[in-house]
Amino acid sequence: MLFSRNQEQKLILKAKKDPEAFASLYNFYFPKIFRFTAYRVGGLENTEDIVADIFEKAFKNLNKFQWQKNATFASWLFRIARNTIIDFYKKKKVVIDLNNLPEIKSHEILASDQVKRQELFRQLQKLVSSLPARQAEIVSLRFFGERKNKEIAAILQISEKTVASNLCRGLRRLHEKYKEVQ
Amino acid sequence: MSIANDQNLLNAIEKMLNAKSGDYLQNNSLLGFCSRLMAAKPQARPKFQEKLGRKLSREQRFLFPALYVKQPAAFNLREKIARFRLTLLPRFLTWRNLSMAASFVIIATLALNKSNNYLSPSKLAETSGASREQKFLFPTNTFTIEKIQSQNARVLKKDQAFQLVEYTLFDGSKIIALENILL
Repeated sequence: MLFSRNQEQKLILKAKKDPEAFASLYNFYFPKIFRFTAYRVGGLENTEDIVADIFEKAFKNLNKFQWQKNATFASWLFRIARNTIIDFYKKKKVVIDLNNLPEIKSHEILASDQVKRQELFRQLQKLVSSLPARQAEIVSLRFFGERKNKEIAAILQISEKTVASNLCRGLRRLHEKYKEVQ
Repeated sequence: MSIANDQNLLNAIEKMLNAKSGDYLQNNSLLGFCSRLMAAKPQARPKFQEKLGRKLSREQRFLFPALYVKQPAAFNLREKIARFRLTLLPRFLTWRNLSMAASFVIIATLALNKSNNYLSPSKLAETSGASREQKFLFPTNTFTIEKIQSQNARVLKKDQAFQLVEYTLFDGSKIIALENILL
Protein backbone atom coordinates (compact mmCIF):
# COMPACT_ATOMS: atom_id res chain seq x y z
CA MET A 1 0.00 0.00 0.00
CA LEU A 2 1.35 3.40 -0.97
CA PHE A 3 0.40 6.46 1.08
CA SER A 4 -0.14 9.91 -0.35
CA ARG A 5 1.50 12.78 1.49
CA ASN A 6 -1.80 13.76 3.11
CA GLN A 7 -2.65 10.19 4.10
CA GLU A 8 0.76 9.73 5.65
CA GLN A 9 0.47 13.00 7.56
CA LYS A 10 -2.86 11.90 9.02
CA LEU A 11 -1.53 8.44 9.78
CA ILE A 12 1.44 9.83 11.70
CA LEU A 13 -0.76 12.12 13.75
CA LYS A 14 -2.94 9.12 14.51
CA ALA A 15 0.05 6.86 15.20
CA LYS A 16 1.12 9.13 18.06
CA LYS A 17 -1.93 7.89 19.95
CA ASP A 18 -3.22 4.88 18.11
CA PRO A 19 -1.01 1.76 17.93
CA GLU A 20 -2.88 0.39 14.91
CA ALA A 21 -1.86 3.40 12.86
CA PHE A 22 1.74 2.83 13.88
CA ALA A 23 1.42 -0.78 12.70
CA SER A 24 0.43 0.47 9.23
CA LEU A 25 3.52 2.65 9.05
CA TYR A 26 5.66 -0.23 10.33
CA ASN A 27 4.35 -2.65 7.70
CA PHE A 28 4.88 -0.11 4.94
CA TYR A 29 8.43 0.92 5.86
CA PHE A 30 9.78 -2.34 7.25
CA PRO A 31 10.81 -3.93 3.88
CA LYS A 32 12.49 -0.73 2.70
CA ILE A 33 14.40 -0.24 5.94
CA PHE A 34 15.37 -3.91 5.97
CA ARG A 35 16.72 -3.85 2.40
CA PHE A 36 18.60 -0.62 2.96
CA THR A 37 20.14 -1.95 6.18
CA ALA A 38 20.98 -5.32 4.62
CA TYR A 39 23.00 -3.63 1.87
CA ARG A 40 24.77 -1.37 4.34
CA VAL A 41 25.56 -4.13 6.83
CA GLY A 42 25.51 -7.50 5.06
CA GLY A 43 24.93 -10.31 7.55
CA LEU A 44 21.41 -11.35 8.46
CA GLU A 45 21.81 -11.23 12.25
CA ASN A 46 23.43 -7.80 12.25
CA THR A 47 20.72 -6.53 9.89
CA GLU A 48 17.98 -7.85 12.14
CA ASP A 49 19.54 -6.31 15.25
CA ILE A 50 19.90 -2.93 13.57
CA VAL A 51 16.40 -2.97 12.05
CA ALA A 52 14.92 -3.77 15.47
CA ASP A 53 16.94 -0.92 16.95
CA ILE A 54 15.78 1.51 14.23
CA PHE A 55 12.09 0.78 14.75
CA GLU A 56 12.35 0.91 18.53
CA LYS A 57 14.02 4.32 18.31
CA ALA A 58 11.41 5.53 15.82
CA PHE A 59 8.58 4.25 17.98
CA LYS A 60 9.91 5.83 21.17
CA ASN A 61 10.57 9.18 19.50
CA LEU A 62 7.46 9.38 17.36
CA ASN A 63 6.06 12.17 19.54
CA LYS A 64 9.11 14.27 18.79
CA PHE A 65 8.58 14.01 15.04
CA GLN A 66 7.34 17.24 13.49
CA TRP A 67 6.11 17.25 9.93
CA GLN A 68 7.89 19.97 8.00
CA LYS A 69 8.21 20.89 4.34
CA ASN A 70 11.50 19.07 3.81
CA ALA A 71 11.27 16.63 6.70
CA THR A 72 8.87 13.88 5.77
CA PHE A 73 8.34 10.85 7.96
CA ALA A 74 10.39 8.73 5.53
CA SER A 75 13.33 11.10 5.67
CA TRP A 76 13.11 11.16 9.49
CA LEU A 77 12.97 7.35 9.66
CA PHE A 78 15.84 6.86 7.23
CA ARG A 79 17.92 9.39 9.13
CA ILE A 80 17.40 7.26 12.25
CA ALA A 81 18.41 4.22 10.18
CA ARG A 82 21.51 5.93 8.88
CA ASN A 83 22.61 7.09 12.35
CA THR A 84 21.98 3.65 13.84
CA ILE A 85 24.14 2.05 11.15
CA ILE A 86 26.91 4.61 11.73
CA ASP A 87 26.76 3.86 15.49
CA PHE A 88 26.92 0.14 14.72
CA TYR A 89 30.12 0.56 12.71
CA LYS A 90 31.62 2.78 15.40
CA LYS A 91 30.95 0.28 18.18
CA LYS A 92 32.51 -2.87 16.80
CA LYS A 93 34.46 -4.34 13.98
CA VAL A 94 31.85 -5.86 11.74
CA VAL A 95 32.23 -9.46 10.73
CA ILE A 96 29.86 -10.58 8.01
CA ASP A 97 28.78 -14.16 8.31
CA LEU A 98 28.70 -15.32 4.72
CA ASN A 99 26.78 -18.42 5.67
CA ASN A 100 24.02 -16.35 7.15
CA LEU A 101 22.72 -13.98 4.50
CA PRO A 102 19.18 -12.76 3.96
CA GLU A 103 17.07 -14.48 1.36
CA ILE A 104 16.63 -12.75 -1.99
CA LYS A 105 13.15 -12.47 -3.37
CA SER A 106 12.73 -14.45 -6.58
CA HIS A 107 12.64 -12.37 -9.75
CA GLU A 108 12.38 -13.13 -13.46
CA ILE A 109 15.83 -11.74 -14.22
CA LEU A 110 17.55 -13.56 -11.34
CA ALA A 111 18.54 -17.17 -10.95
CA SER A 112 15.79 -19.46 -9.77
CA ASP A 113 18.10 -21.04 -7.22
CA GLN A 114 17.96 -19.32 -3.81
CA VAL A 115 21.63 -20.05 -3.11
CA LYS A 116 22.66 -18.40 -6.36
CA ARG A 117 20.52 -15.40 -5.59
CA GLN A 118 22.13 -15.14 -2.16
CA GLU A 119 25.53 -15.35 -3.82
CA LEU A 120 24.54 -12.46 -6.10
CA PHE A 121 23.47 -10.45 -3.07
CA ARG A 122 26.78 -11.15 -1.34
CA GLN A 123 28.62 -9.94 -4.46
CA LEU A 124 26.53 -6.80 -4.87
CA GLN A 125 26.64 -5.96 -1.18
CA LYS A 126 30.42 -6.23 -1.23
CA LEU A 127 30.59 -3.98 -4.29
CA VAL A 128 28.29 -1.39 -2.75
CA SER A 129 30.35 -1.42 0.46
CA SER A 130 33.51 -0.83 -1.55
CA LEU A 131 32.15 2.48 -2.85
CA PRO A 132 33.02 5.73 -1.08
CA ALA A 133 30.69 6.08 1.94
CA ARG A 134 28.51 8.82 0.46
CA GLN A 135 28.01 7.04 -2.85
CA ALA A 136 27.25 3.76 -1.08
CA GLU A 137 24.63 5.49 1.06
CA ILE A 138 23.04 7.23 -1.91
CA VAL A 139 22.89 4.08 -4.05
CA SER A 140 21.43 2.09 -1.12
CA LEU A 141 18.83 4.76 -0.34
CA ARG A 142 17.80 5.07 -3.99
CA PHE A 143 17.65 1.40 -4.93
CA PHE A 144 16.83 -0.40 -1.70
CA GLY A 145 15.23 2.26 0.46
CA GLU A 146 13.30 3.40 -2.62
CA ARG A 147 13.78 7.07 -1.80
CA LYS A 148 13.62 9.85 -4.37
CA ASN A 149 16.63 12.12 -4.88
CA LYS A 150 14.84 14.94 -3.09
CA GLU A 151 14.27 12.77 -0.01
CA ILE A 152 17.86 11.50 -0.07
CA ALA A 153 18.98 15.13 -0.12
CA ALA A 154 16.86 15.77 2.99
CA ILE A 155 18.14 12.63 4.76
CA LEU A 156 21.80 13.40 4.11
CA GLN A 157 21.30 17.15 4.31
CA ILE A 158 22.97 17.85 1.00
CA SER A 159 21.70 19.35 -2.26
CA GLU A 160 19.66 17.38 -4.76
CA LYS A 161 22.34 18.02 -7.39
CA THR A 162 24.98 16.41 -5.20
CA VAL A 163 22.71 13.40 -4.76
CA ALA A 164 22.19 13.07 -8.51
CA SER A 165 25.87 13.35 -9.40
CA ASN A 166 26.94 10.94 -6.65
CA LEU A 167 24.28 8.45 -7.70
CA CYS A 168 25.44 8.45 -11.32
CA ARG A 169 29.10 8.26 -10.35
CA GLY A 170 28.41 5.49 -7.89
CA LEU A 171 26.42 3.42 -10.36
CA ARG A 172 29.04 3.74 -13.07
CA ARG A 173 31.75 2.73 -10.65
CA LEU A 174 29.67 -0.19 -9.41
CA HIS A 175 29.08 -1.33 -12.96
CA GLU A 176 32.75 -1.22 -13.78
CA LYS A 177 33.59 -3.25 -10.70
CA TYR A 178 30.81 -5.70 -11.44
CA LYS A 179 32.17 -6.27 -14.96
CA GLU A 180 35.59 -6.91 -13.48
CA VAL A 181 34.22 -9.50 -11.07
CA GLN A 182 32.19 -11.34 -13.75
CA MET B 1 19.96 2.78 -26.03
CA SER B 2 22.97 4.83 -25.10
CA ILE B 3 23.22 6.83 -21.92
CA ALA B 4 24.75 10.10 -23.00
CA ASN B 5 24.67 11.94 -19.74
CA ASP B 6 23.69 11.78 -16.09
CA GLN B 7 20.22 13.13 -16.70
CA ASN B 8 19.43 10.32 -19.11
CA LEU B 9 20.71 7.77 -16.62
CA LEU B 10 18.65 9.32 -13.82
CA ASN B 11 15.54 9.30 -16.01
CA ALA B 12 16.13 5.67 -16.94
CA ILE B 13 16.57 4.70 -13.28
CA GLU B 14 13.42 6.60 -12.36
CA LYS B 15 11.51 4.73 -15.06
CA MET B 16 13.00 1.43 -13.94
CA LEU B 17 12.17 1.93 -10.27
CA ASN B 18 8.62 2.98 -11.07
CA ALA B 19 7.97 0.03 -13.37
CA LYS B 20 5.50 -2.41 -11.84
CA SER B 21 6.95 -5.52 -13.45
CA GLY B 22 10.38 -6.43 -14.73
CA ASP B 23 9.80 -4.96 -18.18
CA TYR B 24 12.60 -2.42 -17.93
CA LEU B 25 15.45 -1.94 -20.35
CA GLN B 26 18.24 -4.42 -20.31
CA ASN B 27 19.90 -3.68 -23.65
CA ASN B 28 22.35 -1.23 -22.23
CA SER B 29 24.80 -2.96 -19.98
CA LEU B 30 24.73 -0.22 -17.32
CA LEU B 31 20.96 -0.30 -17.14
CA GLY B 32 21.06 -4.06 -17.24
CA PHE B 33 23.28 -3.96 -14.20
CA CYS B 34 20.94 -1.45 -12.52
CA SER B 35 18.00 -3.72 -13.15
CA ARG B 36 19.84 -6.65 -11.53
CA LEU B 37 20.78 -4.43 -8.60
CA MET B 38 17.18 -3.43 -8.18
CA ALA B 39 15.91 -6.98 -8.48
CA ALA B 40 18.28 -8.40 -5.87
CA LYS B 41 16.09 -7.46 -2.91
CA PRO B 42 16.95 -9.05 0.42
CA GLN B 43 13.95 -10.21 2.41
CA ALA B 44 13.47 -10.42 6.14
CA ARG B 45 12.44 -13.73 7.64
CA PRO B 46 8.67 -13.50 8.09
CA LYS B 47 9.09 -14.62 11.70
CA PHE B 48 11.45 -11.73 12.40
CA GLN B 49 9.09 -9.08 11.02
CA GLU B 50 6.25 -10.59 13.01
CA LYS B 51 8.31 -10.89 16.20
CA LEU B 52 9.51 -7.28 16.01
CA GLY B 53 5.98 -6.11 15.28
CA ARG B 54 4.74 -7.96 18.36
CA LYS B 55 7.53 -6.54 20.50
CA LEU B 56 6.72 -2.97 19.43
CA SER B 57 3.06 -3.66 20.00
CA ARG B 58 3.82 -4.88 23.56
CA GLU B 59 5.81 -1.72 24.22
CA GLN B 60 2.91 0.31 22.91
CA ARG B 61 0.56 -1.55 25.23
CA PHE B 62 2.85 -0.58 28.06
CA LEU B 63 2.90 3.06 27.03
CA PHE B 64 -0.77 3.38 26.10
CA PRO B 65 -2.61 0.74 28.16
CA ALA B 66 -5.91 2.58 28.02
CA LEU B 67 -5.99 2.29 24.24
CA TYR B 68 -5.84 -1.48 24.40
CA VAL B 69 -8.07 -2.65 27.23
CA LYS B 70 -11.68 -1.61 27.09
CA GLN B 71 -12.55 -1.55 30.76
CA PRO B 72 -16.06 -1.90 32.19
CA ALA B 73 -17.68 1.26 33.53
CA ALA B 74 -17.59 0.12 37.18
CA PHE B 75 -13.91 -0.63 36.91
CA ASN B 76 -13.31 2.77 35.38
CA LEU B 77 -15.07 4.48 38.28
CA ARG B 78 -13.09 2.48 40.82
CA GLU B 79 -9.94 3.26 38.94
CA LYS B 80 -10.82 6.95 38.83
CA ILE B 81 -11.37 7.01 42.60
CA ALA B 82 -8.13 5.17 43.20
CA ARG B 83 -6.30 7.58 40.89
CA PHE B 84 -7.90 10.53 42.71
CA ARG B 85 -6.81 9.11 46.06
CA LEU B 86 -3.30 8.52 44.83
CA THR B 87 -2.77 11.71 42.92
CA LEU B 88 -5.16 14.52 43.73
CA LEU B 89 -6.11 13.84 47.37
CA PRO B 90 -2.61 14.20 48.84
CA ARG B 91 -2.37 17.53 47.04
CA PHE B 92 -5.52 18.82 48.76
CA LEU B 93 -4.80 17.34 52.18
CA THR B 94 -2.11 19.76 53.24
CA TRP B 95 -2.08 21.67 56.54
CA ARG B 96 -2.33 24.91 54.60
CA ASN B 97 -5.46 23.83 52.76
CA LEU B 98 -7.04 22.34 55.87
CA SER B 99 -6.45 25.47 57.96
CA MET B 100 -7.84 27.58 55.13
CA ALA B 101 -10.95 25.42 54.99
CA ALA B 102 -11.41 25.62 58.80
CA SER B 103 -11.03 29.42 58.72
CA PHE B 104 -13.61 29.61 55.99
CA VAL B 105 -16.11 27.53 58.00
CA ILE B 106 -15.64 29.73 61.09
CA ILE B 107 -16.04 32.95 59.11
CA ALA B 108 -19.14 31.61 57.36
CA THR B 109 -20.72 30.57 60.68
CA LEU B 110 -20.06 33.95 62.24
CA ALA B 111 -21.43 35.77 59.23
CA LEU B 112 -24.57 33.62 59.30
CA ASN B 113 -25.13 34.25 63.00
CA LYS B 114 -24.72 37.96 62.51
CA SER B 115 -27.25 38.03 59.70
CA ASN B 116 -29.81 36.14 61.84
CA ASN B 117 -31.14 39.18 63.71
CA TYR B 118 -33.92 37.32 65.47
CA LEU B 119 -31.28 35.45 67.43
CA SER B 120 -29.48 38.55 68.64
CA PRO B 121 -30.13 39.41 72.31
CA SER B 122 -31.36 42.94 71.55
CA LYS B 123 -33.87 41.68 69.01
CA LEU B 124 -35.12 39.08 71.43
CA ALA B 125 -35.53 41.74 74.12
CA GLU B 126 -37.37 44.04 71.76
CA THR B 127 -39.86 41.43 70.75
CA SER B 128 -40.34 39.99 74.21
CA GLY B 129 -42.93 42.53 75.38
CA ALA B 130 -40.88 43.59 78.39
CA SER B 131 -41.13 47.16 79.66
CA ARG B 132 -38.53 49.77 78.77
CA GLU B 133 -36.88 49.53 82.20
CA GLN B 134 -36.76 45.84 82.03
CA LYS B 135 -35.00 45.80 78.71
CA PHE B 136 -31.68 45.42 80.33
CA LEU B 137 -29.84 42.29 79.56
CA PHE B 138 -27.34 40.40 81.64
CA PRO B 139 -25.31 37.41 80.81
CA THR B 140 -27.17 34.46 82.30
CA ASN B 141 -24.30 32.72 83.97
CA THR B 142 -23.59 35.72 86.29
CA PHE B 143 -27.06 35.49 87.82
CA THR B 144 -27.12 31.90 88.95
CA ILE B 145 -27.75 32.69 92.68
CA GLU B 146 -30.50 35.14 91.86
CA LYS B 147 -32.06 32.60 89.53
CA ILE B 148 -32.10 30.02 92.30
CA GLN B 149 -33.57 32.47 94.78
CA SER B 150 -36.12 33.89 92.45
CA GLN B 151 -39.74 33.20 93.24
CA ASN B 152 -40.96 33.65 89.78
CA ALA B 153 -39.45 32.98 86.36
CA ARG B 154 -41.34 33.56 83.20
CA VAL B 155 -40.19 32.66 79.69
CA LEU B 156 -40.89 35.62 77.49
CA LYS B 157 -39.58 34.26 74.21
CA LYS B 158 -38.04 31.02 73.23
CA ASP B 159 -36.01 30.11 70.26
CA GLN B 160 -34.04 27.06 69.17
CA ALA B 161 -30.88 28.12 70.96
CA PHE B 162 -31.91 30.96 73.27
CA GLN B 163 -34.69 31.92 75.58
CA LEU B 164 -35.53 35.23 77.13
CA VAL B 165 -36.56 34.75 80.76
CA GLU B 166 -37.98 37.30 83.19
CA TYR B 167 -36.98 36.72 86.79
CA THR B 168 -38.73 38.35 89.75
CA LEU B 169 -36.19 38.48 92.52
CA PHE B 170 -36.87 38.27 96.26
CA ASP B 171 -36.92 42.08 96.65
CA GLY B 172 -39.53 42.43 93.92
CA SER B 173 -37.18 43.71 91.24
CA LYS B 174 -37.21 42.10 87.88
CA ILE B 175 -34.46 41.14 85.51
CA ILE B 176 -34.56 39.77 82.01
CA ALA B 177 -31.95 37.21 81.16
CA LEU B 178 -30.98 35.72 77.87
CA GLU B 179 -30.28 32.06 78.36
CA ASN B 180 -28.57 29.69 76.06
CA ILE B 181 -30.68 26.55 76.13
CA LEU B 182 -28.01 24.42 74.60
CA LEU B 183 -25.52 25.01 77.41
